[in-house]
Amino acid sequence: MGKIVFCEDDPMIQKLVVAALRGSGHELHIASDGEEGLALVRTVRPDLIFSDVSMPRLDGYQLGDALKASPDTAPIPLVFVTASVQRSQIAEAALHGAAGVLPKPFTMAELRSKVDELMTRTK
Amino acid sequence: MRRRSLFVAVPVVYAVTVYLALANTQTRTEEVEVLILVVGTSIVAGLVAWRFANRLEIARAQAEQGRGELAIVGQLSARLSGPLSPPEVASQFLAGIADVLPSSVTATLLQYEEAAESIKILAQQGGSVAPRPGIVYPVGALPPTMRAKLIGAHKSFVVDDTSLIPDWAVLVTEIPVLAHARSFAALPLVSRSRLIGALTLVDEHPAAISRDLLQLVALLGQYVAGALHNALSIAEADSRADREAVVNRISQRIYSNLDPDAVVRSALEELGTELKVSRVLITGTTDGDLSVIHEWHAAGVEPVPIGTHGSLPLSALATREGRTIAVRDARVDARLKDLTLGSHALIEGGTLASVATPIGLEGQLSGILVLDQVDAPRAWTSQEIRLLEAVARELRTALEAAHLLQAWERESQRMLALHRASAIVAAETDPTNVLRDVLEAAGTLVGRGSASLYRWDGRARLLRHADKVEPQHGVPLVLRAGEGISGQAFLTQRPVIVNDYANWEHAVASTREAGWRAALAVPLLRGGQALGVLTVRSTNPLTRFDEEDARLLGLFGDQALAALTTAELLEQQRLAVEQLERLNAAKSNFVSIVSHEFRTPLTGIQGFSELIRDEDLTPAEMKEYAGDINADAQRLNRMITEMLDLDRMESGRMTLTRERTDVNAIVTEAAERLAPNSPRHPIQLNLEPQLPLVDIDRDKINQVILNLLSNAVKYSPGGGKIVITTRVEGDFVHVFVRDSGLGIPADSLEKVFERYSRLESGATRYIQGTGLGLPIARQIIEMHGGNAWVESTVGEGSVFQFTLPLVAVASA
Repeated sequence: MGKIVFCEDDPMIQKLVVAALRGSGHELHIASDGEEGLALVRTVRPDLIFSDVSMPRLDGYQLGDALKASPDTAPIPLVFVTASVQRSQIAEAALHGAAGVLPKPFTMAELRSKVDELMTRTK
Repeated sequence: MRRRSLFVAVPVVYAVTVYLALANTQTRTEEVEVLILVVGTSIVAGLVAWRFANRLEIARAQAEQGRGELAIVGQLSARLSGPLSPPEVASQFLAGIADVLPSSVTATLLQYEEAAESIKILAQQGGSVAPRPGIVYPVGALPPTMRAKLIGAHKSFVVDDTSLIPDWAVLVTEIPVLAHARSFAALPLVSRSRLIGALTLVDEHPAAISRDLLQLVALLGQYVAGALHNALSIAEADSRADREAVVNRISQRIYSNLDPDAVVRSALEELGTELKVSRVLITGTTDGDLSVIHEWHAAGVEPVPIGTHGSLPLSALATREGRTIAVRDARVDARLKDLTLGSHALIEGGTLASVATPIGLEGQLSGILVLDQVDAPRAWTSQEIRLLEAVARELRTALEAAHLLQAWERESQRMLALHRASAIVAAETDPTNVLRDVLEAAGTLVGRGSASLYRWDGRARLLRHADKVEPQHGVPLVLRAGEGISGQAFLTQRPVIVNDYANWEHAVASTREAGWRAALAVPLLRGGQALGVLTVRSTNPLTRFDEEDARLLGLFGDQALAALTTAELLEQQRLAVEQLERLNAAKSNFVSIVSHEFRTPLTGIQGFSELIRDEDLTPAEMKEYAGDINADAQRLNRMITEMLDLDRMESGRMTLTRERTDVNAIVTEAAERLAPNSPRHPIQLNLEPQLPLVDIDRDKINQVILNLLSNAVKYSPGGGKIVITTRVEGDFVHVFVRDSGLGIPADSLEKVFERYSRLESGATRYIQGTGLGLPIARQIIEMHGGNAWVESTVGEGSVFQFTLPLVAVASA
């Protein structure tokens, strides 16, 4: 089983993710903003990272750039969770090192399949 | 005489001889009788013989005299035959009559030159005076009685003894030869009713000229008059031909030029060179004062500057009389001593002789053509005067043509200027620039002055100054129809020209005080309706606007109005498009923001409900998730409500429910509600204890304060104190919400109150919201009659503040 860091400022969504992944066997770490997320990634060394784009202090794209800048964290797959799902933003997400995009609102099945897909790839 | 006495003597000698013969043979008585008889008979016979002899003598003398006259006439006829010039005719005539004149008499034959008003010595003979042919005297130099008789009435003027005429010497000062005359006779020479000249006889002794002689000379004079007339006619014809040649040359030069100034210049030069005068001038009346308009001067002659005026007596005289006036010697010419003609300024510039002739143009006197001679007096000949008059006529015609052409050229130049101005104006699409260009072009189009444009405000029934900048020259900002020159032009729908602005009855006081001297206003008409007025003004006292200016400005005004209207329509369209674009951008921005914001609570609702449906949950978990769904649904609802609220407020569909409220209470309540959720943002209250109650919509103001507080928290991501202050300032309650957050750049201080315009900076793009919080807050405050704004320093924080009037104001 792997480790996941999930960055999300909205408390409701934090709670939802926790509930959704409770039975998956993965070790889930929640961060409330980008900075917190970056620190968590460095300590936890997750196999997969989810991040909201709009967050206080350090937003999702800045977090992505910081992760890619470091050889330790660069290989970890990063998925942006965003409500803005226009084409241009998906392209921008890729620019910031995204391995995938999870559009809001997402279903639990979508979340879980994204987790399974990327966890398998890293293993 | 001798013969006549013989006829008397013979009868007397016979009578005495008969008496002596009879005395020796007869008685005394018989002697006496015989004596009486013989003496009587002798006396009768003597008388008869004397009378007979006398008759015979007279007849003989008469025959002799007739033979003499006949001889003189025959001699003259021979002398005067053949082609002779007038001076030759004159000298031949004088030579022909020399025999009949006493040797002490000086005979002079004079030619009368009507155009030059002069008499010229053609020939002179006899006496002790040296002959002076060629000398010319003005008619004015003759004694008045002589002038009247000889020239006025064509009668002889005879003086037996000049010493009996008072002041004779004074009367003839100008004709020295007459000064010494004691006997004087002047006989007119008339041919075909025209005065050709005169014959004068002068003797230094009184009564030296007998009646017989005068009769004879008058008879012969009639004979020479005809000959002289013919000679003069031939000479005149010759000189006319010469003159025509000169005039032709001059007219060719002047017609080759179409600029009136150049026409005049070349004519003056030609004339001056041809007649070898010192100067040629054209004088004319400008503003009732004669002045020099054109001038040509020969090399080395002091010029008379153009503009010289006030004392041009000869021009004044020619103007007054309407004919040519010639002056031989200005120093002695009595006509120039008339003080009403101005001072003796003809001599200015050294002018001694001058001749002036009027130039008429378009039926009006357009000037006086003047020849000046500076170095010496000059006797102007008819030839010269006719030439001057001919040039004046040519000049008039040429000037007329040139003026016409110039008018046409001016017209086309004006049209060109008009097109250029219109093109400039039409090239602009920004109404402000169009107006600026219109005003500039209008001012320069009529050559001088600055322009203003008024538009008719139909609702206020006023003319409004179109330029928004502070008008100068006392230009009024608004005018009623009929007020001032612009109002007059608007009211009458006709151009108004005022050249004596200072004394114009309708002048607006401020414009008069600003020194307007002349103004021109044209109505801007469309479809027979006046939409405005274009007015040009000048503070230059020399400015004169005319009908042409008005016409031109009117034409320009029409185009200017069209350009301005077009530009305004374009501008309106551009603004509308811009507004639409902005609205569109705002809308799509809004859609993206709203969809983004809506998706977050939607994710919760969707996710938790999915969990409840799909997972095996405990009833407690299920209840909890249901609560979460509810919370997110409420959040979504709030977002929608907010959006609709602003829409309703902005469209005026929301009203306030006012009640007397303590603002401090609302602030305290809001702070208390927020505090638990924002531990990193301690809230400090700094409230005015004596804050009066105000009539406000409690819920709405609460909403504003909550919004400002949540913003303060949201935009201070690093945490920090939030200070809320209330105080009374003037007639307002003033509320401040200070944070120590990111701050707002100066150029965005207003933007944050615009709809959907959350700052798109990297530092703030994560900050959630509907983009409607501040627009709603401002809307609510303004509905209460207050103001909402922000002061901020980037990096230090912002102070959002609003005011509420102490006394409720009707909501807008």
